[in-house]
Formats: sequence, structure tokens, C-alpha cells
Amino acid sequence: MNFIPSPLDISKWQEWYKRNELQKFALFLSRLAEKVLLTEDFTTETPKKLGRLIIETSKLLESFIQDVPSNYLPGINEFLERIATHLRYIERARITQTPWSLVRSAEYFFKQQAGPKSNFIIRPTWSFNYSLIGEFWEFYKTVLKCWSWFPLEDLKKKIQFEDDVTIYCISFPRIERQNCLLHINWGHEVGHIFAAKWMESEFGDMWTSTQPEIQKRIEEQVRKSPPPVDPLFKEVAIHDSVARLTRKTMDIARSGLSELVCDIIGVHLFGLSAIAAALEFSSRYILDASPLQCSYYPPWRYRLREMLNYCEEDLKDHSVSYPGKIIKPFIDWLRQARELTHQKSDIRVLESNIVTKEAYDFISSKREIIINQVISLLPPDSQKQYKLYERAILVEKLVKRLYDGIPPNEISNLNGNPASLQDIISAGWIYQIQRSTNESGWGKIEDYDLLFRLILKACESSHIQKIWGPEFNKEKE
Amino acid sequence: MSTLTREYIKKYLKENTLIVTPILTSRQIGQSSIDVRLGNQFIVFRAHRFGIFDPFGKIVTEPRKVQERHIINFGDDFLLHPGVLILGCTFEYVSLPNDLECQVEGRSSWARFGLQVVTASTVEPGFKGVITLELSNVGTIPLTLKPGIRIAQLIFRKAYPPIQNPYPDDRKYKYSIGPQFSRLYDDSDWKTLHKNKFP
Repeated sequence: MNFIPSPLDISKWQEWYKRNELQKFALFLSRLAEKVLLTEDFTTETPKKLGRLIIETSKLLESFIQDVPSNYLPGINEFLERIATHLRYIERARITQTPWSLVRSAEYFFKQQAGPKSNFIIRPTWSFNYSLIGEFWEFYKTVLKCWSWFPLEDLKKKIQFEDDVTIYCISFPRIERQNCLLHINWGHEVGHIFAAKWMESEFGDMWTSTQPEIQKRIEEQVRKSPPPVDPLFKEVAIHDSVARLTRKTMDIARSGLSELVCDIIGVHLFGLSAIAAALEFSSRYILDASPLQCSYYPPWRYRLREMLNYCEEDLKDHSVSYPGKIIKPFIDWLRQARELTHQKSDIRVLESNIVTKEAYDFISSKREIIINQVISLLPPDSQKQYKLYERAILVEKLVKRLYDGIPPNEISNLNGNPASLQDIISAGWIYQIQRSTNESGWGKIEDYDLLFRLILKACESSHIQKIWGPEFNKEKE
Repeated sequence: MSTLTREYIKKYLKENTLIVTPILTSRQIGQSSIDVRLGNQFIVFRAHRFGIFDPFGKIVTEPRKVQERHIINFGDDFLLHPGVLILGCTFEYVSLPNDLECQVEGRSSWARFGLQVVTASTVEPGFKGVITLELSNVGTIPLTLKPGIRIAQLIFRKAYPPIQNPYPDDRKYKYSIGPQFSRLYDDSDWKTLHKNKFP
């Protein structure tokens, strides 16, 4: 029996309470996760996978808490508190909370990019932002490996995870739940997986080889207006300042590069639609905000320019490739957006500060090499860029279906070829831009609602047809 | 009005004047009908919260209060208990030309287990959307339904003469992609009855 020690022996008494509270915490956590999995429906299996990971981890921890040396208790407490917060990703991924038809086809598409063992929870958040969180399984393994008494192999068997399984969570703004065209920003978030891989393997060496020159230029700048200190400490202050600014330059370059690479991955996968989504998203922000004022993010004008440059071929005057009138307004609209990026006010902002100037000089000098290296990390089938002009004839037919009030999931009845996610989204953007630029009356909330519904239905239908169609056709009556 | 046979159904489909999308297998097209599959959205009654739906009353006049939507995955189970009515929908999105109307009928294979598929079965020319199905189990044992099963059949009939202004955009259930809550309160008769007391 586990009796409460006498309060007179305060250390034993306290430890008893610590262990029992932690045990309760672990038990409640596993029960809470079990309840969520039992009572809720999810669009894909991924939220359940994370749920099972939480359940089994907390159950195993609970069984060891009474016996582990007391110096492990604070770590266990911190870990349990952390994994308890992961429950919110599962809860928010309930099928009714998400644009489920898009979630299903998007996860399928992202698995093709990041590997079949990658998993994505897609959930809404009340903040107006898109983000990628994770990877979760690596976090669990890293912590649990440190505790030699924890049976990690048993956990792997229970949850049937191999070492290379990954679970990420993509968040999207709740207020835009139905706006499936904006959610193409998910492509940017998946880009973070590849950007992180590249950063880990290449950035360090690349920066190290360039840093001495950057540091030299920063030092020249600092010496022009040295820190106001006693002459005795002048050199120390200069060195300190140079080191600090060089470090900041690296952080800004790293962060800027990461975002720009993700933008390119998004555009690579979804083509001009990704730029349209970025334009819509950025329209509420200052285009020329310095990275120093916005968490080291690159200015939006800079990002849009890079994306548009990557799609230059799509924006050329392809009178042969875009023979009909349907795509033209969309291309014209993006060309106008390119005019926006011809203004160099963002560059002036970046050049006004030595740190941002050096960071972005570094980025622009390495841009081509880095993009090629990152794209080579994609699976072979995805290394070819999605180009609208190559898909124009098919996409035009999909847009015509939208005009007829029909989901663009295929180009005709009995066609047997479901449209790809990229083609469906392209059709949606082309339709939206054409109607909103050509028809003054179009743009009411009901108009967008109908468009989003048709796109969501198309995502569902094409995905089901892709997955289940071949299965149904195998069977004989 | 004459019923369209397989050859004519295919003709309409090939011309894309009649849209039923997606047809996952050509076996869905029968001699004089198209089999349609069950979609994955359902509307069920919240009988545990409200005992009555009284559109003329003061307490519960909004259908969404007495019903709620459930979404499950394609291939998952949905249990329909005896005596229960739910709203489901076809997986296929249907667009009818202005010279065709369509009847929705249950499949006899399911009817033999007590599944009644529709009670309001005529779809007017010009309709676009998934078709809401009123599903009830009049048998004595629970039935397991799965989104994706072939649940009903569409029988097409020529409408003479073709309708000039078919199913306008402001009609109640146009362009739906899931089962629709009843919009009884949109009926002009209902508004008259609700406002006035007859002498």
C-alpha cells in the first residue's frame, strides 16, 4: 500500500505528493485522449495516430512514475504538460471543424510530396495565420530516449510507428474555413519540411564561407559610428556590436531564406494559384515592412516578386497556350501584380539597415543554387513545376463547369480521369478573378459561398474517384 | 412522359447536357436508370433535446434547432435504427437539362431489408446539386449504411415542352453539396398561415 508519509518528514511527504500528482496527471491525460478519440469523428486517421501516441506514452509513464529516481520527476512533469497541449491539435481537427473534403485530398497530395510515412493534421486556429507545427514523433522519441528506464520499443510496438513516421500539424485561420482557394497556402507550410532539411544540411557551410566578408562590411559600418562608450572600451564595444549584428544578420538571412524557399515550394506545387493566394493573404498587411519589425519575415513585396519570377514562363504572352478568353483575365491580374513588385520600395527598406542589407544580399546571391537544391529534395515526380500554360486546355474546361454551376472534378461525364487538386484550385482562382474583375455585381458573400462549395465538392469527388474508382471497377457483378 | 432508356441516358451524358458526376463505374448505368451512391453527410434529429417541431409555434421554428449535421468518412459505418428517419444525400452531383426531370427511387435490394429511400422523389428540370435523400428504416433490425454504397436510382423522364426558365438560382435547394435542412418556412403558404388567422 502506498501510504501518505508523515508531514513531519517534509521531503518524503513532498515526493509522495509529486509522484501521486504526476501519476494522476498521466492517467487523466490518457483518459482524456481516449475520450476524444472515442467520441469524435476525424477526416483522416492522422489525429487518431497522434491521439494513440499520447495515450500510450502517458499510460507507460504512469506505470513507471512510482519507481523512477526522483530527479526525473521535474522532467516528466514538463513533458506531460507539453504533450497535454497536443490534445488541442486533435480536438480542433474534428471533421465538422475543417473543410474536410479538401483536407482529405490535401493530405493525400502532401504525402506524395513528403513521403508515404508522413502524416498531416489540418486544423483551424482562431489567429489569422497559417503555420506548420511538429514534427511530433521526433519530439517524443528525443525526450523518451533520454530516460533509460522508459521502454521506447514497447511504445513503438503499441502504436505501430516505425522510426521514420512523421506527424505534422498545419494550422489555418478558422474564419476562412470554407475559403479553399486561400488554403493553397498549405503548400508553403509543407515547404517548411524541405526548407528545414536544407537548412540543417547546407545553410551552416554556406553561411560560414560568406560570414567573414559580411562581418568585415558590418565592422566598417560600425566603425563609422562607433558605440558611445569610454575610449578605453571602444574596441571591445565595437567587437561586441559587430558580433551581435553579424549574429542578427545570420538570423534574418536564415529566417528570410526559409520563408522564401517555402514560397517557392508552394508555387512549384500549385503554380499561379499559390501566388494568387499569397496576394489575397498579404493584401491586409504592409508590403514593405522591414524584417526587423515583423519577426524577421521578408517584406511581402519581396516575397511576391520572388514567386512571380519563379512563374515567369506562365506569365509570358502565351497566345497559343492560352487560346481562349477564360484564363486571360487571371493572367492579366497577375501581370498587374507584377507591376506592384516592380516598385522597389521594399529593397530601399532592406538597404536602409546594414543588417537587413547584408542578409538579403546573401539571400539574393545564393537564391538560384538554393532553390535548385531544395527542389531536388522533392520526390522525382514532383520535381517538375506545375505550369498553368501546360494545363490550359483542361483547366479552361473545368472553369466552364464552374460557370455552369457544376463542380470541376472532371471535364466530362464518364471521363474516368478525375482532375488533379492543382487543376481544380487553378480553375477556382481563374473563375474567381474573371468574375470579380469583369462583373461589378459579382463578389457577394453568396457568390463566394457557391464557388467554395463547388470547389470543395470537386476536391471530394476527384479524390474519391481516384482512390475508390479503380477498386469498384475491379469487382464483377 | 417517357422514361429514358440506357442508350438515351448515355447520349445525354456524352453530350454533357445531363451531368451525374462522378460515375465511379459504368455498371451504375442500368437499362433505364442510373444508380447513385450514398454521400457522407447526414442530418439527424436531436430528439433528446426537442420533443416537437412546430413551424407555427413560438419555441422551435428553425429546423436546424431540431436537427444536426453529421459527417463521416467514405466507407465508414452509419447505423440506421428501426423507426428512425435521417436525411442523407447522393454522392453524385446532378445537373438536369431543361427537358428532363428525374425520379429518385430506392433500390429493391435495400427495400427488402426495410430501407425506404425517398419520400419526396421528383427532381425538377434545371436542378443542380446533390440530391437530399430521406432515409428511414421501416424494418425491425438496424441497418448498416456506408457512404459509397449504391443506395438509390435516378429514372429520367422527358419534360414536354422543355422548361424555359428551369429551376432558377434562388430556388431553395439549388447547388447543394450536402443534405439540406428543411426550408419549410420559405414557402409562401406557410408565411400566410403563420401571419394570419382565418376568419
